[in-house]
Amino acid sequence: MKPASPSSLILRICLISMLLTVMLVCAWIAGISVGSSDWSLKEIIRTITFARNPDHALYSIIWDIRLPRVIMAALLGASLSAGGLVFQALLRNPLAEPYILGISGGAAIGAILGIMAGLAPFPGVSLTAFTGSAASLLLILLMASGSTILKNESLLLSGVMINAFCSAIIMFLITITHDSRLHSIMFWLMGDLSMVSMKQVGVLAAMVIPCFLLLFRYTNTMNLIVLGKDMAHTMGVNIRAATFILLAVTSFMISATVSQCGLLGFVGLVIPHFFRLIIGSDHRLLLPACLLGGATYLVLCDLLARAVPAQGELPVGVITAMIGAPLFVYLLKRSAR
Amino acid sequence: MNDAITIEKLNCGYGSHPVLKGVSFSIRANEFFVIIGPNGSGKTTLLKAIAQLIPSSAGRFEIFGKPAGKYSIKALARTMAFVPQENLIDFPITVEEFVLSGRSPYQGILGIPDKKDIETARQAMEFTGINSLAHRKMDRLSGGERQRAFIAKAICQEPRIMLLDEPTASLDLAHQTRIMDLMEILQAEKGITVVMVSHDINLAAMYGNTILLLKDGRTVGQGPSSQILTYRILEEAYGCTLLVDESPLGHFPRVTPVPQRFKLDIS
Repeated sequence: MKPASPSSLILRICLISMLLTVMLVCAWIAGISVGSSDWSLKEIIRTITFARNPDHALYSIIWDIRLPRVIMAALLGASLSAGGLVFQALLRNPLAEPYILGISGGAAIGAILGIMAGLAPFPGVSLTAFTGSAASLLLILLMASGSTILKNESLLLSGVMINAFCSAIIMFLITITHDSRLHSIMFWLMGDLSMVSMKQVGVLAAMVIPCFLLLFRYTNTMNLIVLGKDMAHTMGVNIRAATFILLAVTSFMISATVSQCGLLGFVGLVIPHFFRLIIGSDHRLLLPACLLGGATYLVLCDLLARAVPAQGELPVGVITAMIGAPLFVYLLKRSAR
Repeated sequence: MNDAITIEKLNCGYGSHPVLKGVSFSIRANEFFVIIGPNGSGKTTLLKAIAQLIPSSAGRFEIFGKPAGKYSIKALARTMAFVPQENLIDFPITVEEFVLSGRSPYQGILGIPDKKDIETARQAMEFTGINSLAHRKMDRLSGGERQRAFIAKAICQEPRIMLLDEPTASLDLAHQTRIMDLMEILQAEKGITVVMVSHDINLAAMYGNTILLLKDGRTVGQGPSSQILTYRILEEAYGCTLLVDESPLGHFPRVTPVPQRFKLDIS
């Protein structure tokens, strides 16, 4: 990359954002076009642009089923990737992912209890899942409020322990469930987008989009944090405050995400690495790239999950890992050369 | 001359374990100040306490005549730069990005660099001789190159005081003198006060204007090398047999540790 001139950083941020936005829009269009009933692209565009009257059958297919779904996939992909990026920087650990501090475990217990109680996916199960993740979030912040906030190892270990404890409870709950609810639980644990409404999309958007904006304010702080906490402090970062805010905002964002769609794995681990390999480690570029790129990735994976013929459809979590892992290993090999 | 740092009765420790027990000293502006002492004497802790990286309590702690507690974190970052002993960076950041990050105490929240920032970074890299490494990744540098990048970053902060924790540890002889020479030029030409922790008594003697000798968290002595680096004081502090003579390079002491098999001959 060429030596930085004052405007080149802003230029690069805009360029990357624009490029990835175009990709996201393309993915959206593809995502809306593909489904169990076939319509031409022209028909679909006319429907989205309100050129057709709302009585048409396609109208409700698009506005009630496909559009909420692709927007949901984008929001999930964006917040999971951003969450992974922040945790990797904050814990200075490349293996960190959004679920590393145990948020997922709490959410899963909440969701499973909701499903066992026979609640509807939205708002019932979402609410119980969010309650569960909020409980683990509270636990994390409590652990982090002492002097341990600056010690990555203790924060990480506490997270691993919360997750281990939650897994045990999850296993227990699964063992005592026998009927069709077991299927719902499995789908939730793998991450599932098959039942999404516009209302749900609105709720999640209202929760995570403010988080995205807040995180962007801290991107340069993250650049300094990865240099080491002592370094960051002596370069003017209030490290305790920054750590706490980043931890709280990201955990909240992930809680909201997980409670809507279950444990979508892999996206949050690999998308940040993918972009680090391509555009370097400046978080001012990485955050927009992860938000838009993660969104695109999940929209495309969801598209595949629907397109691949199966009994019903595949949980999207299966696809994210199946494609992402080999792709990432390939990139890693290439960059090592 | 004004004092850069004045510290009286500084206490500092980890938990209930005190490391520094009432240390008092002052560092004059624009001097080359070296802190020496045996392992576990509290050298690094003292440096970190000066950098406000660990909490400490002191009867008096002033930086350029102003109480240290009255500095904001950013103001502190514009006054003092810190070069840590552990300088591994696991993220694939380029040398140029890293050096430029030294400008962050002067920048807005997003750290968008202006022309002056980029020019300062370029000069700092030129000064430390790492221009050609600008686009290399920090995690692919040798120890000496990495140390120079850290110093370039510290220069970018345009500090009045530079704190260094054993900057020559694990470097070969050529790099040791190169780093020390850089610091000496910074002190002489840019008027920076250099505060350095060092294990190497001979480097301390050759470059330091003032030596502070610590033992068990207390000050043993402070003064020019000719006063502090004497046979009696050093042997007392380090608890081993030493030979102190004059360096062939000039009027400063040279310290040689004496191996066991020579000790009988001396006594």
